[in-house]
Amino acid sequence: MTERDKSMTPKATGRLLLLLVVVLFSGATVVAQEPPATQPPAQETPAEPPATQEEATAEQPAMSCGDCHDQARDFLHNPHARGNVENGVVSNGACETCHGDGTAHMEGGGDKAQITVPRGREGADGTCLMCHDTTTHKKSPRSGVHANSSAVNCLSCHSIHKSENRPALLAKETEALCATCHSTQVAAFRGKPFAHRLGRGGMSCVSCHEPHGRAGRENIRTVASGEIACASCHREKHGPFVFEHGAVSAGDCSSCHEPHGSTNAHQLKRATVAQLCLECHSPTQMATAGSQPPSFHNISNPRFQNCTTCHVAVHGSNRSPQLLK
Amino acid sequence: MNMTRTRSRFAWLVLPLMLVASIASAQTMEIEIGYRWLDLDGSESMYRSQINERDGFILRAFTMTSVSDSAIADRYKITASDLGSTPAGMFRIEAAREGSYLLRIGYHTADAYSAIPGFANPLLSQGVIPGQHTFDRSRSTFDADLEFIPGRKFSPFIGYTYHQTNGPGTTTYFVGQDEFRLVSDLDDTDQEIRAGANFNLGRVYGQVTQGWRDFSGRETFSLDAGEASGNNVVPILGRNITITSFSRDSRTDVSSPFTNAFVVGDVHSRVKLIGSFVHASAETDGIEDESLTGSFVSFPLGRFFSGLNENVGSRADNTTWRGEGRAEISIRDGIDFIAGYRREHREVSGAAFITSMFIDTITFSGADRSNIEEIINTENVLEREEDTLSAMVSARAMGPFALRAGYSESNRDVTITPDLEEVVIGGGNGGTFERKIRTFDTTGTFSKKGFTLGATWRHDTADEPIFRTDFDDRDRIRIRASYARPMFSIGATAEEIDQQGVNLDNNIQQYSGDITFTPIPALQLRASAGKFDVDSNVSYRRPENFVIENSIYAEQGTSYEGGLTFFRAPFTLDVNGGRFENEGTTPFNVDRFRTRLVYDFLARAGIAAEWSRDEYREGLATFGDFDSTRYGIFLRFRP
Repeated sequence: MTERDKSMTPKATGRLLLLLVVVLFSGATVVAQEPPATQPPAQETPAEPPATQEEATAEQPAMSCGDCHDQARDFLHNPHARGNVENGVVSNGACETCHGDGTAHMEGGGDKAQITVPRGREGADGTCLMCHDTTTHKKSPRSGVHANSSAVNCLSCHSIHKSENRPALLAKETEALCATCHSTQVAAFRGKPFAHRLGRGGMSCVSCHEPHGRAGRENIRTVASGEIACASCHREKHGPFVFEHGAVSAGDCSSCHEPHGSTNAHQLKRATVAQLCLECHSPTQMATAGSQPPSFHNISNPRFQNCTTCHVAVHGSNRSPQLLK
Repeated sequence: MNMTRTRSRFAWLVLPLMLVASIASAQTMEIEIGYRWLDLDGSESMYRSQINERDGFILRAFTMTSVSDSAIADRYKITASDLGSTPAGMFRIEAAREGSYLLRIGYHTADAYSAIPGFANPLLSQGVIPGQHTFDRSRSTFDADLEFIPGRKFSPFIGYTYHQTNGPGTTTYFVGQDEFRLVSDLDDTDQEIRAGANFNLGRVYGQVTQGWRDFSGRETFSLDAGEASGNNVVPILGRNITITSFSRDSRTDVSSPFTNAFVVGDVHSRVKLIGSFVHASAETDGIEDESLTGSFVSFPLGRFFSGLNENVGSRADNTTWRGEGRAEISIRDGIDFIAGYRREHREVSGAAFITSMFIDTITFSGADRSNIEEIINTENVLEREEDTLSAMVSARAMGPFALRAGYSESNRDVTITPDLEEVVIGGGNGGTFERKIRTFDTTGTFSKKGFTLGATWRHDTADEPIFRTDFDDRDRIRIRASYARPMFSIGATAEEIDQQGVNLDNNIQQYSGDITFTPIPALQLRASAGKFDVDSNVSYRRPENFVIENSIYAEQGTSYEGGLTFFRAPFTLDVNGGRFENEGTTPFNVDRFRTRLVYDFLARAGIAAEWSRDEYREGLATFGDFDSTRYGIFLRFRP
């Protein structure tokens, strides 16, 4: 790899032309085959119900929720429709699981007082948690960081009817959703030059954090073998090594790394390596682990300003106690 | 740019998806595919280290779902995103038949690229860039999990994970009183097989998993071209240190069985008991062969030498287990008391048998020519134990208020028995260290009529440090207030982390404000601003003269972001821009702009155009500065 500091102009004018031809040809083909676009925006509010019960009975008896509510018709692919699909049509049972019996609501011409609409903490407690009480060793809807409350509840993050095919019926994309409250963390991801690529390749806040998790360390996901989420991708750092770096063994990855974005290329907590290392590896009057100086190197010499130039196996080595290889 | 690898990956992933899509009777299907161009000025290495989005075809998004009465699967969903000339991409398949099985398959791929001008670069002042530590690798992970008869009393499952990391890199090797730049080729694979069962016996439910992980890694090294002189061009004891040939072959195998289980018991309508246990036992076997020739000096031997042949056999064992029990007691609806106890244990021990043959050694006076063999049997042990006792009250249902308050006490016990070879100066790295941390943690929220106020305070206090950078006292405070109405929302957040220790003074403050305005349903405007300050001060002793100095690290960052989304069928426009200015120890500016226009000219087809710009400017040097502009055209189909 050599540095090639030069301008890279688009080198594919031919490909661009080819692509444009394909685009135009595809568009023309589809135009010839399809009617004009008639895609309305998704409707949350119900369609206008018949003015009176008599009118409803006379014109179009309201026999199913989907007669008035678009979202009921679009519920086919919603996980909550399972068990309530007959011949490719969602039955009223899918709606009634959360909204209760809708007979009186229909007979009332869409009377909103005659139907249950779960909202806020009470709605989540009385509806969502009836099935989704996901208490495990990691999760708790009672004591978790996002425990069901009036400020944060199931419906703060999940949209049952308008999730637009997102995983877990999320109301927004994960990053945008978390940014609603955790704006400073998301700003670090977006602004700092070196950070995990959120929103790319399926990586998001929940790749490492358990949103339903308990407070403290249990908020960090673990892999099946019990190690923290970092090990799910950085598998070569698992070890064990004959000589493990004490910062890894007695601490964890965050002893040295800043996962939410860093000014250092390897997402270290300090911009320069020597600074990070010498903050621990420096003798003082305290008896602390690893406090001996690594050597007598003159760190004013550029040769020794980056400890990892020589101590390359900084996570652990099977050969060198000084982590030289 | 590694376009061959990118295209190959693109073809292997997209073609099967397209094939599946064409033969399946999908009820909904969306696909967006197109081409992106890159226009780059400045440091390509820094651009690729930070962003690495390249010229080429991209499968931006793919979604296919089906619900049917098929005997094979009554529902399935296939999603994919950012496959092709992207730094990271994924696809996921979920298929199920109600009451029969649930299958999840996932694939993630990500480039790992780093070639920074100033990182591990002793020759930066001479204009040599990038640094000596670079890599151009890719990570791929394939996951498959199959659960049988989900939702029944007993639901067995099996799973498999295959992870691969491979690609070239460069590194540095210290030998003979000089450092030499090497090129390396890495090929690591990690496979995991797991099997277990979910069980639900009414009042008792849980999960048991037994797994086996096998890691196999190989890395080969050779001397980089033109690097025979090393980093140090000054003769040592009158002799130039040079290397004429080098080869190293390093192989590592790790076998790690693990057990993971938890059980939840609803022993009473108001009492839950939860227990969990995880145990992993890993064994590493390592073999390394190295040979080199040249002209070197060894101060430990007190000799010059002209070659080295070294063989290493190593073995390391790691046993980790963690057990936890907790009780969740509902005092009344919405008010719970939670108490728990956890014990963690980790023991690492390792040994390496190293045989080194120094070729053609002579004393510094030029006498006694001979080969010298050195045999070292080196060992290392570390043991860590941690006990944590915790209690918490969570009151979630007090009208608009919610409160959570907890206390925990953690006792850590670490024993490090270092190898004698490691000890350079008395005092050493080893010893037995004990540390007790007491933590008080409380969170309160108020939410009514769109106004929400939340505050969190966590205070940790510890007795003795294990590492020099461990705190004695730490306070973390976070306050957020927001107000949301249908047309707008506004919020502000303030956070502070303050740590104090014997030689440590660390303070981080972050503030941000955000506003969203939706004047009409078709238009949303948003803006945010943030500020953060990091001020860290740790005293340290300079290794060359033992003078105590302060390691002062500071960041003063300011961020601004703004954007809008406009939707009026058939158009959707998304515009976002932001600037991040950082001053302090590492000053830099980052400007980012993203624009995406979608024109759905048909109900089932559309076109999207994207334009992105990133500008990066460093304050101390210009080696890493770059301007990148990317633009792409994507076709959208909903067949």
